[in-house]
Amino acid sequence: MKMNKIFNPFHEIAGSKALFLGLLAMLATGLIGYFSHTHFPDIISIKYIPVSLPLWYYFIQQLVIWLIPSVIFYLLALLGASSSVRIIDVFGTQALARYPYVLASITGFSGSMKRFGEYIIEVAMEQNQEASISSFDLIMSILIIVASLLLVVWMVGLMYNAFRISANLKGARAVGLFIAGFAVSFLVSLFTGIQLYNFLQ
Amino acid sequence: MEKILPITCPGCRSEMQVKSLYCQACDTTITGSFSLPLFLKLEPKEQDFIMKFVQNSGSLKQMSKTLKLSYPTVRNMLDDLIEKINQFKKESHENE
Repeated sequence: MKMNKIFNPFHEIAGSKALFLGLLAMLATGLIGYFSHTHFPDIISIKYIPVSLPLWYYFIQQLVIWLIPSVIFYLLALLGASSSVRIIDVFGTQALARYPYVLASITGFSGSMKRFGEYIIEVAMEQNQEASISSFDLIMSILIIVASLLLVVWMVGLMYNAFRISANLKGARAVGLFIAGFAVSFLVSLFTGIQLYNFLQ
Repeated sequence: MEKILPITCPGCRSEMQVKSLYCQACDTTITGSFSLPLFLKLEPKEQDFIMKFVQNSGSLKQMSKTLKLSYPTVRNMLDDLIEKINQFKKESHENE
C-alpha cells in the first residue's frame, strides 16, 4: 500500500493541493540545483554542469520542464478523455510528479561525479592512457548513475499515473497517448532548454 | 453477519431472478418472476458509493473529502459507475 502511494499519490492528492506541493518541490529542486550545479535541460535529463549561472535560470528551467508536458498532456486529455478534465488536476499532478527530482538535485554535490566526468573526457576524447580514477570515485559514480536512473523511472511512472488519473484514461489508450505526449514534451523541452541556455551565453 | 445478495447464478453465471417475496408480518408469499432492480445488480461498494453520493448532495468535492480521495479519483469512480449502469441498461434492452 505504501509502495503504491510512492508511485501513485494521486488517488489521494490532486488539484490545488498537488500544485502547491509540486511547486514547493520544484522550488527546492531549483534552489538545490543552483548550489550543486545540477541542471535539468529537458523533462528527464539530470546533468552536472560546473558553470555559474543566475538563480532565476534554475527556476525558469523548472517551470519549463513542468509547463511543457502539462500543456501537452492537457490537450491530449481533452482529445482522449470521455468525461470532463479539470486543468488544475493535470497541471497539479504533473507538478507533484516531479518531486523525485529534489533528490536528483543533490547528486551534483558529489565530487566523484565531477572527477568521473573528467576521467571519461580524458580517456575517450584526449586518448590519455595515463588518466586514472580512484576506486571510491568510480564506485560512487556508478552508484549515483544507478540512483539517477531509478529516479528517472520513478518520475516517469508518476507522470504516467498523473496523466491517467487526471484524464480518466485506461489501458492501451492511456499508454499510447502518454508515450506520444511524453515524446513531444521531451523534444519541445529539449529545444526550449537549449534556447534558454544559449540566451545566457 | 450481513448476508450478501447473490445476483449471478453460481452454476452458469446468468443473472438471477426473484422467484418469491415473503411478508414476515402476515406470512404471505408471492411467487412469480421478477427482475432485480438495477441498484441491486451493482457491487456492494458501488451501492455504498451511490448512497454516499446522494448523502453528499451529489457534490464530488464533498465526496472527495468524505472518502479522503482526490477529486479526479472520485470523478473517475463515478464515470466507471455511469458506464456500468449504461451497460446494464443496454443489456436489459437487448433482452427485452
